[in-house]
Amino acid sequence: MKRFFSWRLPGTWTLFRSDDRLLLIVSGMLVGLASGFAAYLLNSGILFIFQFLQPLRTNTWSFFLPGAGAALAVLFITKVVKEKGGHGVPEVIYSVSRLGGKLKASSMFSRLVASCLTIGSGGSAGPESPVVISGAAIGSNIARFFSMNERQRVTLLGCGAAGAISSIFNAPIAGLVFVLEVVLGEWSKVHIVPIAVASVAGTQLSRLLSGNQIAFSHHSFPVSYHDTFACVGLAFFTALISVLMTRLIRNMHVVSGKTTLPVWAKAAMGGCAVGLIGLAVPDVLGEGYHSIRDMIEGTYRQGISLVLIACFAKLLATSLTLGWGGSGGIFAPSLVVGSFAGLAYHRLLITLFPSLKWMGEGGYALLGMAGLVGGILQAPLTGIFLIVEITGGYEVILPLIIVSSISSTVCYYFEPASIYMKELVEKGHLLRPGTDARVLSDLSIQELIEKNCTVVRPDMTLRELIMVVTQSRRNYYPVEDAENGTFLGLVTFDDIRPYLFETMMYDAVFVEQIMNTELDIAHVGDSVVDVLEIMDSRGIYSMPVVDGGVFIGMVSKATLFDHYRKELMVQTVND
Amino acid sequence: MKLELEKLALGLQLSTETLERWIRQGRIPVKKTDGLCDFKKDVLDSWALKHHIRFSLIETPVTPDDDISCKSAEEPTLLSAMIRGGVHTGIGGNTVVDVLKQVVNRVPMISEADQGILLEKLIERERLTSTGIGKGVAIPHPRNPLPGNDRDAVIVSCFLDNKIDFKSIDHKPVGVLFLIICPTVKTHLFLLSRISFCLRDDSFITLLSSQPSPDEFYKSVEAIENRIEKG
Repeated sequence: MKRFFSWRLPGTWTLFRSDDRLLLIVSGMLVGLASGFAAYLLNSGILFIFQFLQPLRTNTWSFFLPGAGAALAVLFITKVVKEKGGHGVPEVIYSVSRLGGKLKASSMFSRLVASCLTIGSGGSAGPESPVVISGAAIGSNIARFFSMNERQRVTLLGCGAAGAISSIFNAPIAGLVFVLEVVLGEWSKVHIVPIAVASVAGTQLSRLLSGNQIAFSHHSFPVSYHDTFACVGLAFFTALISVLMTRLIRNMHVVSGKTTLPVWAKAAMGGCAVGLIGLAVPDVLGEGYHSIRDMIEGTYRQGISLVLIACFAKLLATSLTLGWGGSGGIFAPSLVVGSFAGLAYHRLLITLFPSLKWMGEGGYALLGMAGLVGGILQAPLTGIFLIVEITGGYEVILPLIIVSSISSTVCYYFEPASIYMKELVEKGHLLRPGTDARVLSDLSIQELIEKNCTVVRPDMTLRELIMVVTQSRRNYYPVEDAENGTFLGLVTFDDIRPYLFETMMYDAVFVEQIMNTELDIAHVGDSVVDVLEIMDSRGIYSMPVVDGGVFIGMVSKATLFDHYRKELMVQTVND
Repeated sequence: MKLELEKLALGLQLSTETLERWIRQGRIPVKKTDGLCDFKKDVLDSWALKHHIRFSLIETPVTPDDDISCKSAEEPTLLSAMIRGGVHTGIGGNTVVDVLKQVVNRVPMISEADQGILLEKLIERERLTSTGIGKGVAIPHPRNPLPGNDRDAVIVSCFLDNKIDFKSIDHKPVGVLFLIICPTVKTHLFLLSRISFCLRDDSFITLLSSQPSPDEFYKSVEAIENRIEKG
């Protein structure tokens, strides 16, 4: 017997056939390396363009630069690769929820180019979301190349996203946690191991290419008791700013949605507005890592009022860039805004309590970042691990947990869905594994149809119908036109019950007189959620399924429960 | 607000056992104090909305599941329909069509044109299968409610001079006709089941064969109907 062997089908290799975990780990590493490299490319690209344009920024007309960059980015996305705009992460979550992890191959590079143009030219946005979608698309397309199934594809998609985040922040655990907390929403063993491997691979690659100090340098901060207490105030402050930022971006989106201009013109307008702000406060331009660096080092010189102005200017610039269609993410801007907020809070503490010895201002900047990540992204763990890895120590862990958890809790009270999820939740596209919505959306009416129903004709007498009933095991009898098979109505056992023992009526009554014609009808293409909604509101347990006027079968809650339970067992048991 | 467990369970469309378990497991923002459910209405409202659970505390009238008693409240009685149609004797004719022609003439408050349509429908129905339901009784009726008929149901009771061959199931010649005209199929089925019930009574059959006076006939129908309604 000749063994079937193909290098494109690693799932059939003897090594991987019994258990796909090894396959996922190996391919996860590959994906992690690739997405890590994508992150490195994007970072270098942005830096190159930003520095290339730096000499021009002394001119007043330079405020056109972000506008031009944003417009070019939008033109590239819509005309060249023909994709829809968007922040990146929501598309990845949508793909996990609805498409089984499928992403277009062009997404592997499209957002990289677009965000390179947007951010390099000075737009206020982050490179993380674009790199997450690129990494995820790399994972998804590698999985497709190797003909993997949807579950494996989702895992590899997560590997790609994790590799990208790990690489860009030099923070493997933050990458892992971000993917589990935000992208997949599921902490299962099958995911964790390959994604952890991908995170490590991505981080290693970026360390190899640009040294072990990528985004921010390691610092240690001595934390005193009063710092920990003061953090509670900072948590509320960052929560407030998170809510403000979320709403500002959303409103900007609504306003730009009402404007009837071509998308590139909108992006250009937003970009130019950012450029104007940039003339006054240069710190708002770009992804803003350089100012974060200054703040962590403690070399950011401006006083409290200027810091606050910078904070709100960055808020406004980010909402202008992203709300008006620029390409980029929310992650880096929220880190910048967070560090401004932390710095401002620190300045306030020093003014109020000059005698106490506070933790350095860099420490507060980091805590502010954690507060914003916890608040805006509703991802407290990502915030905590990111800052722990950036500072390279556990000294700040206590205030970090306080700020992150309080901020996300307070923010949740005002904005239950994070900025990534809000639109998905509103459209019912956020389907986390093991939830009711997930199970119901996976099931289709087609799967639930019971087809072994006995069909009766309208001109049958009650006697003939009762003969049919005695030989059948069902309680529902669809009535079909004898000639063209059109569905006319339904006879239920309850309809016959009053006449069962009235033998004198057997020949005087026809099926067409007994049948129900005013029925709620399900169609093959209907969603199970909608059909269940009708059943619940009418208090019925079964509905006929009709397609093109012809009876197909019945759906009932009893069968649904059977399928629902099996589905839940398959979806939630992890091995 | 505070509410009995049963009432809250009813409002949430849950069994009391399920509600009790949910409270114990902390799945629902309700506390149990002194056997009463303690909750905030707005909190529970938003919780129910979030979890797609119906919640309303409006008292819904309990609908009786006894279908027959429900029907008798809204449907006309057999007696009232029979009184509207009247009892008729002295109907001659030797064929089904002859008899039906005369019966149609006896239907009260109906125009001549409508009589023609009715007769056509009755003959059409007989052609499908005989309405002779046995024991010497036939119940001619149109297959579907007559168009534009929104009057109360009418049953015309007719005693024939000569028993005729109606092609009944039990092959017995038919001497009594109940012509049924109803505004809806539902009423038709209801009255038909009542007639069918009456015909199960042997004393009623004997009464029919004696060609009773209208009063005697109505009294007998009323007695049987009372028996049905008492269950």
